[in-house]
Amino acid sequence: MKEVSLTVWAVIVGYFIIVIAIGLLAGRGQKNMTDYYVSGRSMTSLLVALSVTATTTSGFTFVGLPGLTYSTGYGPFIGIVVLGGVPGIILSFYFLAKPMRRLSEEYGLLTVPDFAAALHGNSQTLRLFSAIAIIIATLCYLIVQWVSVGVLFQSLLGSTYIIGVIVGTLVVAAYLVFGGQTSNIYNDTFQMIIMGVGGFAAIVIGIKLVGGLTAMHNTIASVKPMMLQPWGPGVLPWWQILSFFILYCIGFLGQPQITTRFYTINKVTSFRSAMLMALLAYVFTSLMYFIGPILKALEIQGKIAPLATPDLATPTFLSNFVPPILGGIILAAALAAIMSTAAALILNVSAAIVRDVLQQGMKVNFTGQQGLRYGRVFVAVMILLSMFLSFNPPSIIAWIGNTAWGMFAAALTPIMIFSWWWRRATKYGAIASVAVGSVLSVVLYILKITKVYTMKFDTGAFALICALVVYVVVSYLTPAEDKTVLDKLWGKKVKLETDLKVGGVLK
Amino acid sequence: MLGLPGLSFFFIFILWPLLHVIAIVLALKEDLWEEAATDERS
Repeated sequence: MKEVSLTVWAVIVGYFIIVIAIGLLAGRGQKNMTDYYVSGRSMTSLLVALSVTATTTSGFTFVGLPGLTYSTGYGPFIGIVVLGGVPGIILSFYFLAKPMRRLSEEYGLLTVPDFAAALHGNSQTLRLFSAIAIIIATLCYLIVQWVSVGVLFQSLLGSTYIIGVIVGTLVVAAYLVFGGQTSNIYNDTFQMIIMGVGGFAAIVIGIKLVGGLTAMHNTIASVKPMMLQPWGPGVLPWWQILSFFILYCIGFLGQPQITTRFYTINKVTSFRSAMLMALLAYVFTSLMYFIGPILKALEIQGKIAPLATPDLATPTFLSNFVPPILGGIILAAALAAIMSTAAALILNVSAAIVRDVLQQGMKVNFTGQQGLRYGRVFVAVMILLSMFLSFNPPSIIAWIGNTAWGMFAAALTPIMIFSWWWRRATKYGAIASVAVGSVLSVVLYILKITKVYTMKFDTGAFALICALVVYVVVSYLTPAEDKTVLDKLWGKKVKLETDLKVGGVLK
Repeated sequence: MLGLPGLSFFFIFILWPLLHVIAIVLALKEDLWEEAATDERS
């Protein structure tokens, strides 16, 4: 692709111009934090659906996972997509969408700690614990996203790593600081279309190249038949697939960058079609996983040399088999995947600081306009801070970033499920579960990376199971709570007073 | 079946589409998605 990089660059630059323009248009007319962080609860089902899927799809989907399926076969696809993401999307819409949207309107909620606190007597300890877990994990996760932008620029566009990081962060800053969540969601929709087109086109080309699905599988079966099995000797063991299920299906419910989208929809009935559209969009991005088996078959057929490292799967495929303009689109899709995840994370951390720490924790009073200004300032600060940290990230940040999905899953999934669906849940159970989930997921991962103690089971999945158990045990050991909030919102015919002051005030 | 062993075929070509059918059935369930009293304004 190097000799035609002008075409690729033109596609990338065109893409950047469009996302920035969308951001500038989206930011007009915003008045307060509700407008900035949850789009004034006015997004349609299509926008929310595509935004959920775009945020779920990160740079890992475009680079890491095709590498994983190249080296281990269909196991990761079955674990992460079929048993993970697809039921994860269904469960999150089924269990969380309606309660989050209703509580958000009733109590002016803007963040995940808001949701947890509202269901546990406005517990400030619970709010701060979950906000701190979110701030640390999000910042590190964000830096990992910038690192992948830098690596993509370096490996595919012939640029340098630092320039890649700076360009990536500045583009996101240009569309996010002013436009907030509305810009993020409009851009997610645009980026999702790019990802869908890119992913679908790549697979059509690839499968044609190997001579069809059956030929591809027969070729692989002739040399490495285990790659076609979901699990087994020589490929991923069954418990690894089980941990994918725990982490990506159950743990999906704990991802704040995804679930806060449920606050933004215009009405509860829109979730019905939003769930279906999110799933349909996810089919298209999931197709990228097939690049792994396609490349393996091409390698066996002698059309490419064996890859030096599995992570080269996507770059090799793009530079050898895809026309430059489509290569540019797929590369833009990979950047889109990273940037949409990054943008969601930035809004998350900014909201956690302004809403949970400043407004609710430290009781700083501000008007709607001031809240909006603080929101924008902290988005800009977080982008700059994470940019500088990504130039040469300390190992600890990369470690936490790599396990951030697991940390969100372990720390927040139990409160997302039990706080609303279990009447015996107590705030002490919730606090203990957030503490155990966040600390355990990070500590076990660091012990694994440093080879002090290597847990075979996925560390995030194990921490999630522990956090669920801790929540239940501590809840039973502490006195039952008043559940007036739950009763009011579960009661179908009760006409509720609404308190929708600017920025929202918890009653 | 497309050159795939049975178990993988089940996961990729049966379970994957089946989950989408389940989602459609859930979406058609009225009570799950009905408006709350507070949503009447929107």
